[in-house]
Amino acid sequence: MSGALRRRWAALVALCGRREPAHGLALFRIAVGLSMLYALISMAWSGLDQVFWVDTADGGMFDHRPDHWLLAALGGRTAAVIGGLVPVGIGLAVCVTLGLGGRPVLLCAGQVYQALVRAGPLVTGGYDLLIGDALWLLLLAGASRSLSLDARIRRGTWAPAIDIAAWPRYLAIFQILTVYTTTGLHKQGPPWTPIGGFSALYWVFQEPTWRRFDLSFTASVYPLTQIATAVTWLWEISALLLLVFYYYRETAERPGRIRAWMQRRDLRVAFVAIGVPLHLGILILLNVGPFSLISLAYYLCLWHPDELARGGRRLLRVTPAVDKGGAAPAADGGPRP
Amino acid sequence: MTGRRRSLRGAAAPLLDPLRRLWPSLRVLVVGYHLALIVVLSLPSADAMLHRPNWESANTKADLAHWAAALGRVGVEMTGPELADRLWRTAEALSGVQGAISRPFVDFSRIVGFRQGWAMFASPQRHPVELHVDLEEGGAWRPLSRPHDDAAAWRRATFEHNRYRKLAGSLGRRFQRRYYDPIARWLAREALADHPGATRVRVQLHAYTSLPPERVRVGERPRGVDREVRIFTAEELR
Repeated sequence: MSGALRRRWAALVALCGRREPAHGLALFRIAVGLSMLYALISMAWSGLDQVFWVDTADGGMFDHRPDHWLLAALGGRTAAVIGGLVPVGIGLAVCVTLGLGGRPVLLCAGQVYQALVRAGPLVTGGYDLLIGDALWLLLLAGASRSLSLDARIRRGTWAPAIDIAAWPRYLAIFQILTVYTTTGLHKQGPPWTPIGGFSALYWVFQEPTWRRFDLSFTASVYPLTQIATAVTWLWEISALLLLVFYYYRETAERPGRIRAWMQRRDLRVAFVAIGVPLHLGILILLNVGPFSLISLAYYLCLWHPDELARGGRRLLRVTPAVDKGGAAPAADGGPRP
Repeated sequence: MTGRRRSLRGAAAPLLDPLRRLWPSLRVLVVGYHLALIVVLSLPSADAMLHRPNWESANTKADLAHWAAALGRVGVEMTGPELADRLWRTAEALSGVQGAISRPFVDFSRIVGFRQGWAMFASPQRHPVELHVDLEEGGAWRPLSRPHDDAAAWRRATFEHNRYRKLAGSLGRRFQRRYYDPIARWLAREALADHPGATRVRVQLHAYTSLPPERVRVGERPRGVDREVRIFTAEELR
């Protein structure tokens, strides 16, 4: 291996070996657990678990071959199996939220959730993928070690000063940014582009499938829907560029005007300033399940746990409690994002 | 630590120590594998690209006609069907590549539940369908279920769930009889179970074209047609 290659490899090893306070991914874990809880309770509440996830012989709508080892092992899409798995899934979602049971619970939660949602292949949503991905990353990180019942039971405090691996959070960042960029690239319909007059959101609001209530009034504010369409499309497509921000913050000691500018300006704030209203808009106007909740949950990973703690303190104006962990300092002395 | 556990650790040390030394490098490979998985599986899958019903919907045909017209304006003359034919052949070629590069990731992704890739509102639906359920009681038909209609709000909590919406919406995006018929039969069976006095149930798709803003602003409402009508009698379902 040449010298330059060896240095790069060593830098990668160091990057993947970083550790950071556990409360950052703990907050993510809580939000993921709540999203999973909502996804499962809403299915049970509406009775659709026994419609979409059960074969016709037991009163369901369709017949499907079990697409998950757990479902196949339990005997397939029967009313009894689904009737048992749904409460188990809800119980596991509660445990994930409370941080009880550590990695085994995160593993079981991921498998049970996959078994359930893949029982109805015609009605899976993007949020199912995001929840499944999040549970896997939380499992890799061991994200139940802070802000959890586990911490309370084992260490006598809710938020012990514990560090965990940082790379699962980096993967979560890459995951959500890739989701946005690829979703933007998939938007090949002319209404998303200048060719179609940036009319996409207007058409979405006219369609009966997703809207919560009559949105025909959007015809009166059509230019606003055009601006929102253009902003949404460009923002989604360019989401992966946020990685440049992280790279420049990591290499702050190197020269360059853009790099210097990015030390002063936090691009994540601009990213979130568009993303949060977009998801709140979706939440209010359209019924796409917990899609906005789980997407916003990933936003917690955009910040280093110490930055989250500082932001939280500023928001709540409380004294320091949880940022005793040893975050590696960045070039400017603050934690690396 | 108990003595038994300590002795077990001691016995495993020759195996674990080299692994511990290697772990920092292995960890880079694990992270790299995940990054590659996220990227590769976010590419459009062969199933999605080569799913005929997707290409035959009114929405897709309108999109293709729109793109063909745009190409015509820059000197590339081609009709919507010709563009569809070219894109289909490109998709066939790409699906082979996508299939090959995703092979190392698919099984892992399925087993651990770390998946990727979907298209949200990729092309907004301008030709939606509504799933309508009507009931015949005392020789007269009455609407039982219509989206966003307070006068026909049977089992609204169920039918307003996002997963049911997804299913209903997909009938407009890519109609497939093998899915529509079971849906219609299930709806009819449930309607008769809730209304024992009914004699027949009618399930149909109400299809229309969404109106542009200038027509909505003057108070016009879309007019649709009913299609894929399925009528079930009480005798056949009870």
